[in-house]
Amino acid sequence: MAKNTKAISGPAKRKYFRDALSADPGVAADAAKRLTEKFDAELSHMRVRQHVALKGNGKSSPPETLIQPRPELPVATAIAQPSPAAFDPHGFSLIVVMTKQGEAGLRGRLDAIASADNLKALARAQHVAIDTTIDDLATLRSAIIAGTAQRIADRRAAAS
Amino acid sequence: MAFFLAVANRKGGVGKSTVAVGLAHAAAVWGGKRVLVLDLDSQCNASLILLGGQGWLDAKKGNRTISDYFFDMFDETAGAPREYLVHGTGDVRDGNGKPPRLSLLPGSLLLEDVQGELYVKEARQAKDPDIVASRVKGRLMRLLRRFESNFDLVILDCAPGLSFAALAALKTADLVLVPFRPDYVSQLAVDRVALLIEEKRNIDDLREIGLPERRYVCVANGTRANSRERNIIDEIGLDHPMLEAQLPHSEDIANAFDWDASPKRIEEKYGNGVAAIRALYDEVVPLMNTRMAAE
Repeated sequence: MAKNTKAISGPAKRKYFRDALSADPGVAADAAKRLTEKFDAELSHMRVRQHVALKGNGKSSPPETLIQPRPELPVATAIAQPSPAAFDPHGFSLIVVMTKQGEAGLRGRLDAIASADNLKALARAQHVAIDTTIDDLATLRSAIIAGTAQRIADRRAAAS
Repeated sequence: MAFFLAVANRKGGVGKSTVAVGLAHAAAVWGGKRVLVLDLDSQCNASLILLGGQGWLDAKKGNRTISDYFFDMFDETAGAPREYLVHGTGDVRDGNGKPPRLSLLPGSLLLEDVQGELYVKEARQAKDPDIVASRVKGRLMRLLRRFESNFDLVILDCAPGLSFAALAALKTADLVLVPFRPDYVSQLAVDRVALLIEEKRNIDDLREIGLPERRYVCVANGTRANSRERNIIDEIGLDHPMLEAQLPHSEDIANAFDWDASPKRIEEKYGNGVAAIRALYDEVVPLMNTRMAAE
């Protein structure tokens, strides 16, 4: 680790989060407080640049600009880009929709999923075989429909 | 006349004995019914749950097991089936602190061996293997039916697999409960036991029978209430009748089947799982009533 970094934990770590978040005009006060508590609970200790650590320890204050979280800090990135709600690959059953609503019904459900990664996650979670190198959404959806039909046929074969 | 309720699945470990004993306790305590459990599984789980190890060993030493009953009575000569039963089993008490009317024909480790002997015995009378198998199954069915006049409910806790006893139980039953775990393999197992119960060759043939007309109904056991399991249950429900009630993955239900000689109320025995047992019972009773009314 570089010489100009220092490990902080406990009150110094908490102060670092509080100061960094409240200094960001894009983070509301209640969000800053909530995120401070969350990061404080999830991170036992971390390394920050020396001047930040000094500020956190209540020693001589560096210029205000130096305590601003830098864009490259992972924590600042996480704050600036909150992750979207997690996609549930079991949110609906491909087999149930295909059986009850047919191919058109299933295609309608798949059309609502606009991410190739999510479509692949859906197929993987429900054991529908597709070519994972496909990135074109329309092709992926067609592959999932074909794979679902194959899976229904496979189950029927197993019960014969 | 007793209602015959089989609990069956060709797959092991899906909770057949859990469902069988849970319903036996419920019907005896909450329903005030005269209940008999026939333990047709050589693992003897239902017997150990209801009698404990020593109680089961005592029954075994006293030649009061399902194997003894089948072997001794196979020729259907005069006899007293009730002499093979153990009465007042289980460690639960009714609301008045009295033991419910819950009887058991204990299981036996020798059940498969005895069925083999009975097959050989029958084979002396006929050469065709199919005829022999049919006769053995028929005799076992009649032996199972001999308890019908002394109980309100006879629960047949079946072994996984296709023993003569299991086949006889499926044929005898007025209703078959099919417990399953919400996983891929169990899905296939449900298909297969359904074909067996309805005597169909494939899913397409099975679909000719409407879900309400089926002789069986499925119940999910050990559920964890996540979306993956919900999907599997929905997928199984496409082709099979399904109870709304589910038995959740529950420490309290699992612990309830650890034999304990100290009598207790059913609510105490099942702890947090008692609501699930009650929901299962409340849904099964109308099904049994409907079928009894139809006969």
